[in-house]
Amino acid sequence: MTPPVRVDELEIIGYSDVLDASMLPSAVPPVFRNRARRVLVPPFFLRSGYLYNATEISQQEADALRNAMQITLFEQSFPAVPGHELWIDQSFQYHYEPADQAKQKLFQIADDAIREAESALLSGDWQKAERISGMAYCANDRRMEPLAIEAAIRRLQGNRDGERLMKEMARPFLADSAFESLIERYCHMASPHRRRSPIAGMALERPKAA
Amino acid sequence: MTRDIPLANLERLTSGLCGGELRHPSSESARLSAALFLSHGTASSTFSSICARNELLSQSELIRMGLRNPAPECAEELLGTERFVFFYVAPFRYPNTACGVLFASALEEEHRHEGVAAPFDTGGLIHVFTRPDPSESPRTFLTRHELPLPTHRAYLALSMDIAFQQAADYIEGRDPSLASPLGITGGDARRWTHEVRIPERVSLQTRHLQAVFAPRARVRASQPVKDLFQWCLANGVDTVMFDTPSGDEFETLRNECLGYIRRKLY
Repeated sequence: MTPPVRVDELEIIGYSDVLDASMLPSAVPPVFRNRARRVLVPPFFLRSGYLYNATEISQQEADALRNAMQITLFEQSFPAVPGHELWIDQSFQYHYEPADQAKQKLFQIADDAIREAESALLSGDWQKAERISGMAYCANDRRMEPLAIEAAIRRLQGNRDGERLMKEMARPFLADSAFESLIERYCHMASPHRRRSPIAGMALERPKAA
Repeated sequence: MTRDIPLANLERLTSGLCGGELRHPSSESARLSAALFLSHGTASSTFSSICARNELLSQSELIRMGLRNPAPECAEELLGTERFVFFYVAPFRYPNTACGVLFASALEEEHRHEGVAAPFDTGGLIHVFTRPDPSESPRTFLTRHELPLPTHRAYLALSMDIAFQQAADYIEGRDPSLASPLGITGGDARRWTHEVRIPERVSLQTRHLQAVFAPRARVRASQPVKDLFQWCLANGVDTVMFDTPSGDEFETLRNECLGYIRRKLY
């Protein structure tokens, strides 16, 4: 552990995770470097412009963590700023901006992705609905719609364990009955019966006898 | 490695801990030490590949399969422990981890002939702990302190009684009230945390899997992690999902694990 360090005396050289496309967009904990060229990695916490309780390692150890796929290092470092948040977008580009602004952008991505996932459900493209709802959940894990969309798809696929897992994930944030209503709503959207054309199946009806 | 050496170590260390007297552990220490789970923590980024492979692999297996580069200066290579998978007989205590698995203590029984334990985190012998005789190599010190599976837990039970104010202090990570009977100093709770090593690989989806821990976002985003959690739900294995405010992953994992162990064992 290190003594508290002023954030504006640090630079950011990467983040403490290795993400694949299914995990984006995502806010990430930065990997810092101080003026003595020592690297500061989580666990740590940031408060009032200071970094507390970081673990200090050498650049060589940081390289080893990168090789072990535990952290990602940027090609170029940039100055750290108090109150800023680091996040990675869907094309793996990093953004470093005031935390409120970052939060607003991520929430907007989540809103848009939920709408797009619902459209995909309506058009019967479950795979796309699941992928896009995953993006929505990464951007804002307080929205329960993405979990309900996946739960609905699992229910329609007859995968009860998959559905149950989504319910377990939602449980701390939403009452079971409310989550069930969401699932039913999405099942209804995705149901082939609802999407069937009004004239579908008419040719099978036996003509009335003259 | 012959099993005779760890057995002889167990007798010598037990005798040293008890001052040469024959002692039996309290029922509480005996119960806790026998039931305490084996933990293995990993970074979020590596947990997905562990779930996809459905097994924990030793350093040497990872290198053999081209999944990791050789690192001649790492603690495992220096101590000759690179062919083992590592566990703590304790909650997750390795920093920089955010996910993890707990196994039931019965896993040790299955590996009693080829596995081995030590009453400390062996990696700490390199650059972290101070040994009583610095002229003795870390590797030799380790050989003198390796203990057999699962009977090292008898030593753990006695340690809980003799070195700690109360048995649960060992689990909670509170320092012992007595100096280390092994003479090592420095580092953190890993200085007195029992480590278990099992050679080559340990499968996840088995009857020994006790619980799986991961951040909720990781479960949702990673298909292999999701698959493991679904398997756990279908097979009565406990799952623990949690949220991780930025930069606080290990602390959250550690607290979730402690909470789980308290609910199960206290």
